[in-house]
Amino acid sequence: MLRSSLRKYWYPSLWLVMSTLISPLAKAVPEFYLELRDHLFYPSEITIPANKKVKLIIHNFDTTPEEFDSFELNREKVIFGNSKAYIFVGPLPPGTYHFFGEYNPNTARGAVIVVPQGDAHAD
Amino acid sequence: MLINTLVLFLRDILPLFLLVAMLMALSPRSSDRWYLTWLGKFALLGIILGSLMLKFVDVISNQFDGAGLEILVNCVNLMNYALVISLGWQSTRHLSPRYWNYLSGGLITLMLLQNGANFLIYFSGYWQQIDAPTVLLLGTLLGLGICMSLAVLLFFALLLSRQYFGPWMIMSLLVLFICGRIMDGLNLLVQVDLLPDTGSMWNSAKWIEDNSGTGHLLNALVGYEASPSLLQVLSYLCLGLLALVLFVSLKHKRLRSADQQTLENFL
Repeated sequence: MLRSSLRKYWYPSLWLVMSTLISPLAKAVPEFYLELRDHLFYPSEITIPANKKVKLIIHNFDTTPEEFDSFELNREKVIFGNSKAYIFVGPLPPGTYHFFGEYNPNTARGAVIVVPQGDAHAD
Repeated sequence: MLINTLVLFLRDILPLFLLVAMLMALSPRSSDRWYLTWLGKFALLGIILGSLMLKFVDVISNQFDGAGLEILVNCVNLMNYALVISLGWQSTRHLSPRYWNYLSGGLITLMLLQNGANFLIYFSGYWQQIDAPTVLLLGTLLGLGICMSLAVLLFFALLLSRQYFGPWMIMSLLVLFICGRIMDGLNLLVQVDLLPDTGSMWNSAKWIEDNSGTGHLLNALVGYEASPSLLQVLSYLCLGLLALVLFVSLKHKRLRSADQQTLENFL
């Protein structure tokens, strides 16, 4: 009885625990949006506030997958065709942090520009 | 696209070739036929699992609020760490080569599942583009050549080191290799906010850049990162030291029990 209940509910329970852990943190930070069309990032430069964690939501409108990659930000995330993905960035000191699409590094390029708080605005 | 395919192949598949070289140098057997059977069996299993993963990767990725892939990669890394510890334990006990077969084969299969699927996402995603198949295949062939050359060099260097220092040098390198994978994986948990961002401890990019040839090779071999975070450095050191302490204590325990048995036989 107990074993069959465990078997039945382990995945929903795990999902619930993990989602509970993730969701409050995810909602507490400002969100910034990036789009990928024809292997190009729009906007190619995004301004975020310094010393603050932000959520970067990347929407890939191409049919092919792309990998958001940045050595300076220490981030890499695959975004499948016609889907969205997110990554958290920061807190970071002011500066310019370059990123690129690992699958199309010649065209898909951009930068996160970190400016002192007050100078940045949500896109 | 050719260079890009080559770079991606090196990033995803080179660690796998280096792992195979380390395991072959550590192997209790050394016949060519046995190597081929052992490798073929587990490589096939890994490719099948990797292809299955490719089919469901977008579903996995969307689990846990979009953090599914990051969590899976870290689970696989922890399983790999447990397998390396078991290999070290097996080496001190001189157990049957069959156990060695399963442990090392498990490592290869899990690495293929993880890294192979990563490369397959790119490969299958761009296969249908015009002129892409020729370039993708050419890049893959070039990548295979480079990976095999580096793996053969490492294999013979490790065989030579085994003659002088025994299997412990290879075991230590294997531990650093797995700790490097774990260190990379932790960064993925930071980017989906499951772990705090502790900021980078140093930046050695002016000496060795992450995207340079040396950077790629060192990352594949020992998990080099130009600007690691405090969390990454601590986990690397703690897990590495824990494994080495376990191996040393197991070795001493075995020596002590062997001494005791000799003394009992003498009395």
